[in-house]
Amino acid sequence: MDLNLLAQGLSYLSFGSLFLPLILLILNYKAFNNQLKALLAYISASILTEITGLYFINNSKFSLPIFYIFTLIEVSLISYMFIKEIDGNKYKSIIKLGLAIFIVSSIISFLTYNCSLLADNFSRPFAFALIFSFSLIFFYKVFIDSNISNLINYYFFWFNSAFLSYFGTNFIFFLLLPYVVTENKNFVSVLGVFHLVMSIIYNILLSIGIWKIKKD
Amino acid sequence: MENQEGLITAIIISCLAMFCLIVIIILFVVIYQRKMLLKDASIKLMEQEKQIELFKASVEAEEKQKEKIARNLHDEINPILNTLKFNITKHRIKAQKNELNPASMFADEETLNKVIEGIRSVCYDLIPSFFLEYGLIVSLESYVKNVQNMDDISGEFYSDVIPEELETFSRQEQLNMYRVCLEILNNLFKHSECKFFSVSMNSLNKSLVFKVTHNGKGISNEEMNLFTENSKGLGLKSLKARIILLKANINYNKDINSSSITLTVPLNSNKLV
Repeated sequence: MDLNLLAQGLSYLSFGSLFLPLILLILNYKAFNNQLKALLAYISASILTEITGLYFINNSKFSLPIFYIFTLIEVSLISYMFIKEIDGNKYKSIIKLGLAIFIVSSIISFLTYNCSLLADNFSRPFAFALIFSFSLIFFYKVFIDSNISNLINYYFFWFNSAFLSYFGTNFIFFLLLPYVVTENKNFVSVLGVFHLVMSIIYNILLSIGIWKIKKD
Repeated sequence: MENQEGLITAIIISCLAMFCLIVIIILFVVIYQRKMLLKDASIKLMEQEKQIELFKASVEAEEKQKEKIARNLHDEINPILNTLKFNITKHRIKAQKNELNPASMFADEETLNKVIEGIRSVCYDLIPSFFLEYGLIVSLESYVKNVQNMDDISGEFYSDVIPEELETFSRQEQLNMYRVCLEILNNLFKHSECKFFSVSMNSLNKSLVFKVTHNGKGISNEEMNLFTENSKGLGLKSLKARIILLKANINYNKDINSSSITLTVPLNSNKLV
């Protein structure tokens, strides 16, 4: 099997899968709350970043700051969704504190490493670990409070499962990725395929969550 | 090159392991949460069933009481009243003929006394008149004395409860306590084969404590719970219902020499003077 071809095919599929939650969100505009507005902004930012990334594919000088800003937006919007979802001032404060530390440290690393790949290597795993932790907090609260009667039919359960699986897996992925310095395209494709499959699963889980809102 | 291949394999394996772990976490949360909800639902259902059973018991007890009153009125008072009516008719006829002997009316007076006694007995079944007149402590004391007179059992009664403490309870609550104590004593006389018993009534730690000590066959809490669950009669069920209404606690203690039953009713502290 030609891995490059597979990676290319999956990249189109992954990009296309971004439109699935977007379309469902637009169709579900009547049920819009603050969380869904944040999700709409996040998905729109994702699509814009993907398009810009494709446009500047060979120019990291332009694409890196865009990815960098996108990570900041992504973490801020998802944290906002968690703040709105999780009850209890203690947990809200933890999320706000984590977000504040992330934003400050990301800006410092961005300025220190002069917008290089090194800064990105720091900020992405940190962002993913942060959202992974927030997802675990949500499940912990579900466990403790037991106030959701049917978890499978609850939209945020699917959002949280998406965040947990995507950011938890990609945390390890982006933590180890800087050590890969091979020029072998097959190796790079294997990693690419994995990352793209995770993105597709992520978008599908988000879409299920949005679809479940209708049933609420 | 080989190092790079190993590193990529390690990345993929660790990411897959992480993904599997996350899937397990999600499944665990879903399954455990569902189990918890099912458990909660079954507990609620059991509580509802118990409430229904208690409600049924209290309704049945009420019906039985009405039946008993009706039977008393029909079987005891009604025939006497009929006889009385017949006698009065006879007296009227005799009076018309100027043949009425005042001495013959003594028997009717006696019959009337029986009627009054019968009606008093029915009223006592509804709410004991002694209780209404003298209150909880004196009624219990009087009951203990009556038992002593009737059966081959010796008993004693002791109370250090002051009237202000009893006033924190409504008349209905006091009547419930009285009925519970009577039910406990009735069961004791029926099943324990005791020769001696004592009833004490104390005020301890913001609670009213009724303690019945006896030298008969005792019963443990577990045995009592089993009896109550399996019992088809109304006595134990209505006892339980009254204890719940009083927010009280009952404890059965079994011992070879001296067994006891302790009923602890919390005082209505907000009503305490």
